[in-house]
Amino acid sequence: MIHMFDGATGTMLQAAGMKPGECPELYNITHPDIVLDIHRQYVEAGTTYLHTNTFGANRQKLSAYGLEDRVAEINRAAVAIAREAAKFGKNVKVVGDLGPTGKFLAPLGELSFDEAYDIYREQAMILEEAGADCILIETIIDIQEMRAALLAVKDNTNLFVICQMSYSEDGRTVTGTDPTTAATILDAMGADVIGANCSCGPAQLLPVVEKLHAATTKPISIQPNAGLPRLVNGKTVFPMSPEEMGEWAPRLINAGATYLGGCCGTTPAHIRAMAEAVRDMEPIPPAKLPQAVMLTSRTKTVAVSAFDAPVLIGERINPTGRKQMAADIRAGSLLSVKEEAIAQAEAGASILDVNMGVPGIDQATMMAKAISELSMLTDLPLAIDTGDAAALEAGLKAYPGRALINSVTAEPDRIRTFLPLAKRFGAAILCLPISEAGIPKTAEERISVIETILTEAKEAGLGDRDYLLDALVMTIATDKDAASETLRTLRLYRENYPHPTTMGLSNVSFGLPNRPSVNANFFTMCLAAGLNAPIMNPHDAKMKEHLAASNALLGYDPCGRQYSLSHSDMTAPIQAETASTLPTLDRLKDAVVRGEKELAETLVVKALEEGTEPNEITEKGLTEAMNIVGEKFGSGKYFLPQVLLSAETMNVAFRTIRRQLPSLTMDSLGTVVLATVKGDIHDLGKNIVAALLENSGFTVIDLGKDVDAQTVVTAAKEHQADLVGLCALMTTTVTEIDRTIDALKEANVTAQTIIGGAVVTQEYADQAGATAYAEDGVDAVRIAKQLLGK
Amino acid sequence: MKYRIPIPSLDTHTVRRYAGLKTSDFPSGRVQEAAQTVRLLADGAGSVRYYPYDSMTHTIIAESGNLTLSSDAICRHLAEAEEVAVMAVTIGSAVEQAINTAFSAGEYSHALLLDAAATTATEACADHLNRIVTAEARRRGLFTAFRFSPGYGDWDITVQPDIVRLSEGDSIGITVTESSMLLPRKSVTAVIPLRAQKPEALAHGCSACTYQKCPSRKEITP
Repeated sequence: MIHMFDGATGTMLQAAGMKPGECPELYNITHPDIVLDIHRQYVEAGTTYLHTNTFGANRQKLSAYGLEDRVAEINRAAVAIAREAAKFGKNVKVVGDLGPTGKFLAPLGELSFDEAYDIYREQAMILEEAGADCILIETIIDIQEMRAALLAVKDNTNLFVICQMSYSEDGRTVTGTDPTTAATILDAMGADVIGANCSCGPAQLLPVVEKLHAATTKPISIQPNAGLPRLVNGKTVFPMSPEEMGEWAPRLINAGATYLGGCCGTTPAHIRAMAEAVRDMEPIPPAKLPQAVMLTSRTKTVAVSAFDAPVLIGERINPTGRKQMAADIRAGSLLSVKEEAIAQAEAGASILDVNMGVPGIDQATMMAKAISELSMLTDLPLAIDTGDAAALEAGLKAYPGRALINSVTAEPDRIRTFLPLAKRFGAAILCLPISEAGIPKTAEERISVIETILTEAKEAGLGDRDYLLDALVMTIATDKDAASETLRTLRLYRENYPHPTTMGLSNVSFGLPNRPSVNANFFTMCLAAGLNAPIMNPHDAKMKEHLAASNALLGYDPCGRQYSLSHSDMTAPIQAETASTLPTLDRLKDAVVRGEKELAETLVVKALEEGTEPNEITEKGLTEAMNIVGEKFGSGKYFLPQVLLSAETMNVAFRTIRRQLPSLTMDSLGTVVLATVKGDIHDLGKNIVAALLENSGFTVIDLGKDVDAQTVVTAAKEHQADLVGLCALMTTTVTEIDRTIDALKEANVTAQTIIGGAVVTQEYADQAGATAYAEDGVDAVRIAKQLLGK
Repeated sequence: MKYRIPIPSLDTHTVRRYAGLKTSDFPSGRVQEAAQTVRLLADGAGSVRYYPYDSMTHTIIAESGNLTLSSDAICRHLAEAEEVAVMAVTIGSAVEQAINTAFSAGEYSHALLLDAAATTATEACADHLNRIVTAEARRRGLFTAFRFSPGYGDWDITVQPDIVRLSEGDSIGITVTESSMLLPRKSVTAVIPLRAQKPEALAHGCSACTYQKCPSRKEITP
């Protein structure tokens, strides 16, 4: 049967006389008759699940009214009133209502998970003790807050719990969580009903119901607003009539809802219309979920399945054997961890394994920090790789998603500590067939150990979509049958279980030459035997090549389409140097134009060996190249990054000449003093001009940014500057250019001035008394040469 | 309210545009490398506060001190606003150091691409916070129009100290220099009008900007 919640309380209280700024929940104490009357109206309209008036009755929210000490009193009164109102109907359940704290949880905000947990624990325990029949956690926009609330309710009460997130018009919570991801996380953590309320009307929430229904077998609840609100004469108005809401109700049921109600703008009339419209309806059956392990981050769900293409688990966030990462982690820095996360995601990993195993550190603190920071950096789901129960718990708590635990063995200690954590935090587990007796040698023995783990896991409350089975890889250098036992284990897994398989591969080749070849061949065999989630280095090109080919061979990539596409992407390096028959200086010129630094270095050395004079190299190889680059820029064929790449190449070429001939003094085209003027901190453009001038043969004295007029004058005199270049980006600082030019003139500095910057124009240069205006860096070089007659 | 803002990806097309790279003839690996470095170093954060707005006197009403606006452009933009959201975002200063280091090491193009990627990240943070503001407004029956920053049109950047105060940008480490510039440099402040009526699709962004010579200007299709 369909269960009916009630509708809005706040607007009903306002209609009954509550003033803006009053605490709605305090009405449970001050105006119990009004609250009772609202409840009664809803029960008479058909509500069977009646919310207590406790949406904002948590310590955090009540503190805004100075009522944080009255949490118990307010919540108890609310349950008592609802109990009383329930008598107006038959079998009406009292739903203890928990709303948001109004704060974002870390890492998005500053409220810690533990603080949020305590706030919800306090309120949920009072509601249960006062006699609520179940708990509703509603209108939550941060999945981490929902996790804290759900955990607090599950840990501290025996009540049935309904979890409702709020989705915006784009179908995600404002913190980015989609319904599929939320359903996956909350189902695994033990929510009894999963749903949505507020923010949108039934039209926008219909697809949310469909997505929730497709992602969980738990019943779905939905409490839309009475349409999308409008502000009319300073008041928020919800436009949908009871009749319209009534029309939507059957559609919401047919989309998968079992619990129905209303949120902002709905009244007893809306609830009545909805209840009547669905009176004879039954919920549709739960969807048949795919046999797959679903892992999620805050914003994305990844399926690992025995019946679909393999997914890569990136193994590189592991300090074992990696000095820099270990040193970073020991020092409390996550720099190399983050670097590896970004790089592995880029290389095609779908899940990232996170191991903080550095001896002697507080692994729990570091794991929590790493998991939390990685959740800000990547949308890939994470696997928490540890043997330390405290680190596992800290990581699971910190993760605003559904993690994989790597790993659970049959060792009694792991079974005892890890499985309850998996259940409590709703994580999936990687089952590693190792027992107290050690590592089983044969495939049959491994199956027997896996059977023990699965039995224990089931006992702990985990289900069929929670397991990845590891096939165990040993070294063939010490045991000739090691690889074949792993392959047999994979095949037996496939024959006996619906669960996806996993393993790290590289151990197999330990002690052998040319390990990549052994690893890649073994990899192919494993994929054929049923490996679904290899734990590997996603940067390993050979392994990835084998994976792509295997996917085509095993039918995961129909007709090898992806395989073909990936090969068509492998374009030849841009304009590979083919004209090696040309004279060296011409080749050098081309290398500078194309920005090929390594080649330029080689060619400079070659030219010097051939006996070419440095001046000739500079003039015919380098300066001419920069002239071509300048022309290409001027005609719109080249853009700034390309010009800079050529300048970089030129820089490398100059340095190579100096390195080869340390005593050589090169002619300078002139000395330029450059500065971003006082008050201005934007120096990107000035830096570009400096780079281009320097690599065109000028001596550049770069004074930096925020430089006052007197410093420019002093530097111009000291260095006997031929030119002074000044720039400013903003209207507030551009006048400082005038002041600097005046100061130069007053001090009788003879250097000519070139000015530029976003707000500078030729007219501005004229009125400021500058010698010239340059539109961009390339223009500045041209003008500098022109002014000095070069 | 202050938030940390995740930056799980950066659009490399936008990075290319901010770098003024209007050609595909440039190694994409270099653009990606810069984008990855910025994701590594950027620490996205935002703060926003909502205030009543008196459109008759062009005044943002705030306990910490009202702000009466005098620029035509911002007053026009806020003409029908009932309220305004005043926001600030930053990605911190670590990226700036990386840009300077790259320049000093002679990696000019990398420095330019880092700068462009940092701008992309800052704008992405602003977009993220903007979405939160829009969702909050819609929840209350209000519509938002696009965000408007000091420096747009005739709105002088000398207003920055007030905007940073109203957005509580100091809570995320933003300060204003004497010449009205934001520190860290990769920061943005803006005001978003919250209004009862859905705004017409107004020209904004590149198409409404008068800075014709901007190398990052989007190609406008007529």
